[in-house]
Amino acid sequence: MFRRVAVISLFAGVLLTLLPTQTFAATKSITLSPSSTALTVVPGVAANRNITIINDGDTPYTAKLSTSPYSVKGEQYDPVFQRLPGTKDIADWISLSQTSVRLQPHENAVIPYTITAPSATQPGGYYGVIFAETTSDANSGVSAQNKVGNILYVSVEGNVQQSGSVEAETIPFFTFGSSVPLGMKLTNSGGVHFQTEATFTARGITGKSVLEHTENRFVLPQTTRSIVYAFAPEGLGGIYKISRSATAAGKPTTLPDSWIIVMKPHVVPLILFALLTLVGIIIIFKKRSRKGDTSRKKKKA
Amino acid sequence: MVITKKTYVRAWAVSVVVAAASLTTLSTAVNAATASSSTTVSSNVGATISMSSSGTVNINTTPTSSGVQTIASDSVIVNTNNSNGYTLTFNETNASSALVSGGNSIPATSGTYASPVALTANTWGYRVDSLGTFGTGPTSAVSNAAIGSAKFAAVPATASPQQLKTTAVTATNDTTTVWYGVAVNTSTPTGTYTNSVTYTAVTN
Repeated sequence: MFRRVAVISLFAGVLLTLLPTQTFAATKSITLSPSSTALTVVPGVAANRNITIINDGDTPYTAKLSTSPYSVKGEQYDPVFQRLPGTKDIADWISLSQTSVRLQPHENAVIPYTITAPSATQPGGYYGVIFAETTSDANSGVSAQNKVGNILYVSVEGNVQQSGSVEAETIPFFTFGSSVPLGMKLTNSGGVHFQTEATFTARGITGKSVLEHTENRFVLPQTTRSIVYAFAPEGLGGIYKISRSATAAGKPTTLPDSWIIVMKPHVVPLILFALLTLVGIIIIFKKRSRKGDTSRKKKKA
Repeated sequence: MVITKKTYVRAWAVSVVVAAASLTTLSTAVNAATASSSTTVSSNVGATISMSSSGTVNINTTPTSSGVQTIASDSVIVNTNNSNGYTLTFNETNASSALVSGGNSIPATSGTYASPVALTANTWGYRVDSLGTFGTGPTSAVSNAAIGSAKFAAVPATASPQQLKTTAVTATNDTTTVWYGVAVNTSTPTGTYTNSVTYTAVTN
């Protein structure tokens, strides 16, 4: 009896030792909502808003709040958190009710803030970001701060020019690959941002719709934004009619349609096989024809 | 009283009529007691963006005279329900680009994002597989190995963040792996060397 208990205990001990032990690395996670805010303000009048910060990780931290200008670089719209020369820094317009908050795991905080454009502010668009950032108490190695932002698209009320245009980006007529970039460029030549609705559609040669995709993007004043969608047709590819349209400063624009041919890479072996088979059939047919002629000549002789 | 067949049939017919009338009355009473109204249920789904990472990456070394290299990774995970996706950038948190321990420091590699280089002894840096000209990797974690040929760059300065990723759709646990490497020999004094970097994510 005692021997049985000893054997079972020994077996259990070995088994527990061999079982994989799972360790969970502590993660620091921060969530911010909303991720962007579009609002219209009256100069000299405070606009009240809130942001919510959530600690959805398993490590407590002090979240630090800050403000920054926001601009973009290039048609790809790389974000830049610095004031561009000649523009206003609206970070000064933003007043946060608090600039830090201690959050335990799974705790959230609602932080009110106000935006007050100075009384003499000209009508138009102005842009900034409210950041929420984790702070680190680490004292070894490389410590990382996680920073997430709420982009503010502020329109100061008043008479401001709104204008823009849409331009097609060239689509290759023939593509040997699995996807084709369909692009268009939105230019904002006015004084305030607009939100564009860009639509891409594709139809096969039978007229069947194979793509209908819409994107909504902000376009800042005096900038051009490239909007590209990677069209990946199903199957082996084919011939498609591409249609593109977008709204610029509220006005819809439809671009000229384009016809394209897409051939996926794995079609090549199939085509080669088909060609080789055809060549083989032709060769065999010709050989048989020659044999038939030779036989007929011999018989005549 | 004799109950004839005729009487029986009459009684049966009357009871059927009475039953039908009762059921109709009951039904009407039930219907009259029933009222209906409709309620619209709505849910406003807020726009959010979130980021998580390890918080600290330890790249500990036990140097030799010829030099050793340690490489470790940080997983930066972003979630957003913004249908236009997000852009992730990366830069030094403070002015210093070196790993610092008191009065001693391990300077950043001379490599840059545009032109990364293999680490030399007593330098450190970062890399992201398949980004820019870092090469496809795959990079593996190593500890006190011989200094290798994997290319690294200095963490960009605070004012010049480097874009690590940009997406065009909602993101669910979208992960970017950032590798940190340090190479040291025995000329580097012992100590705990630290540096702070910042990952920034905004929606597109």
